Amino acid sequence: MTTPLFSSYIYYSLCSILSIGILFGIYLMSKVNKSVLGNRLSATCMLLGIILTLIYNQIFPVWVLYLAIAIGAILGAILGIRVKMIQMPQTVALLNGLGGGASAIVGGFALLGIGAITAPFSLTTSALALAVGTLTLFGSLVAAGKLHKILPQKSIIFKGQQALTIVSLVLIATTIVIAALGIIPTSLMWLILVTNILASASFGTLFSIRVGGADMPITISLLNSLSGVAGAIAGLAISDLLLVAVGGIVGASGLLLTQVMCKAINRKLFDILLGKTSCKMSQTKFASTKNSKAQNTTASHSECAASKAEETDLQFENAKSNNAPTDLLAKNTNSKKIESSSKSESTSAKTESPSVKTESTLATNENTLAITENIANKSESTSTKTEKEKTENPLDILKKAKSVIIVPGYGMAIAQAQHQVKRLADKLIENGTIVKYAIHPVAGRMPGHMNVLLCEANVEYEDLYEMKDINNEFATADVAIVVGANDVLNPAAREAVGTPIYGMPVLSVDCCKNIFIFNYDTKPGYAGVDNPLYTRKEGTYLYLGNASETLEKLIGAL
Amino acid sequence: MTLIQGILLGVFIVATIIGYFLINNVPSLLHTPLMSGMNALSGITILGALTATAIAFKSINPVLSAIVGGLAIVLAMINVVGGFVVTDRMLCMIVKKGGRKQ
Repeated sequence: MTTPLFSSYIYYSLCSILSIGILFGIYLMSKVNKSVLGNRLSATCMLLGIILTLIYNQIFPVWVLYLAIAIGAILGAILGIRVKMIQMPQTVALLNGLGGGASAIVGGFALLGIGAITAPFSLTTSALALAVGTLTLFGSLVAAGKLHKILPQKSIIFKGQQALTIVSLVLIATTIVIAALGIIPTSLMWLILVTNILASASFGTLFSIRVGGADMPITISLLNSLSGVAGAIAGLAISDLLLVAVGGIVGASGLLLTQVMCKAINRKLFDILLGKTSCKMSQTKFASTKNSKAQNTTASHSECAASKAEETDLQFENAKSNNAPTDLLAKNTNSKKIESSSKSESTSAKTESPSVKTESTLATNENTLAITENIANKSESTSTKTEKEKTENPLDILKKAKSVIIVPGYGMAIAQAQHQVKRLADKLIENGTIVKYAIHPVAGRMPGHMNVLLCEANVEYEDLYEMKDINNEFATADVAIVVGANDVLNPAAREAVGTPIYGMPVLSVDCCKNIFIFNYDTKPGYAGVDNPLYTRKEGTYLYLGNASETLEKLIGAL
Repeated sequence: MTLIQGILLGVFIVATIIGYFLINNVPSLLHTPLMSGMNALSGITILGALTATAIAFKSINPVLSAIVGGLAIVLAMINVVGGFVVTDRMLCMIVKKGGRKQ
């Protein structure tokens, strides 16, 4: 390198100022009112950092750089402007992967002695940067693919996956150690480079494909943190102060964000890293948990929900089922069978409880309910007597309600129903109802995703409540309206040991007297665990189908 | 390890600690924009990509280094610009809604 235009002291001072600027930008971004300013401040600092680097390293005459910058900036701007709010999780994952990929290339260059001296320190760090960058790239790409539904969303586990993961890890470690020792001639360094890339790519992919359910938001956050770490390590390799500082900040704050989320859903980061994320339970275990689940629902139901009038519309009648419980469980496990086997049951349900009036919104409800009724039945009909009061229209319940809590989930986003949700809320507010929104920390596919979507639909963010602030209010609220949410309010999380959501704090929707559920179907959610709320005997009103349509109907009826 | 590398390690550790405490108690409303903002910042690796590419371009195999290094710059730049634009869109939306209420 030629002598710099100005002394390194000035350079380092400027780097420090820019680092502090970026730090301050992040700090501002954690305050709602100053966040726009914070983001722009960070962006400006970044731009100044690029200019500073070009000048200090005297590389500004190299035309290739500008070409690449222009291409990247245009592509980035197009992507940034055109992406929809609902696609945010995969966008963040994708961008994240690209950043990791760039860090990996920098690490690769440094490993070959470009931009760095071939000393043990920079060789170690460059090999490390290459590894972390590559695994971030592949992990993020897989995550983005899953979120964008290009790849199957279920957690994928195959035989020998664990072994393959360990082999990849050992290979990565070996290449780093060999590179660090410097025992390999520079001419053979490409061998290390290729092995390192392949092993890291395989590790990143293996790590990401087994993630499913509520762990997806955490994985994204973790990968985000990793891309910062990759940048910082690359900075260590090529002795770039600004890169080290900013990468470190991003890595650490990303890690903290990850941990905040882990705490929110009561999981240990380490467990997620080890892949203890997925359904490992056997079929038998599943069946037994299901049994207890059904019973527990009734228990918790009679515990916290005051017995209310039974409902005609889409209610769970006490039809006595002739089916053996095991039979039923088998059926329910495979929800596809529901339709074929439900006809006989639904007729039996009708004959034995002639009061079933079906002003149902969708015909399919009947079939599904017939099955679910049976489960509810089997679990004991203790509260039968209380149901024999009067029949009430769900609309009346909604009109009379003094306080309503809306629970949105990813389904709302898919159905693009946030605007209908807002209109329903407006309607209720006109009636003098207090409307609040309960946001689970991992509702949606990325932390804070629901908040952004509701904000897009003009919901005031003062009406959005975090789980810990609102969970006690479900018992006193008149109505809980669930829109496209499942796992985050599944009471099974409290007792279904061995399922992916076990132990995750959930919204206590089951404590509410009346629950309106606007879900697409009664199939298990992302985590694959059945929700016993669907089978609750009273006070549950299911509106199955596309949430924006079913909500529209309800709004019309109101 | 030279002095400069020692300083770098020190900076890394300090930055990590500061970063760790910086965003404590962020409202969950801001989790998504904060994550995407941070994501944009992790594209700071563009600085490394610029330097390395320039050096590689001047020295050994100009064509290959232009392609590989150019790719690194393009990737990092998409990360930076895309990330900041997306974050700005989200934040503007959130703040606008928040301000109207007051």
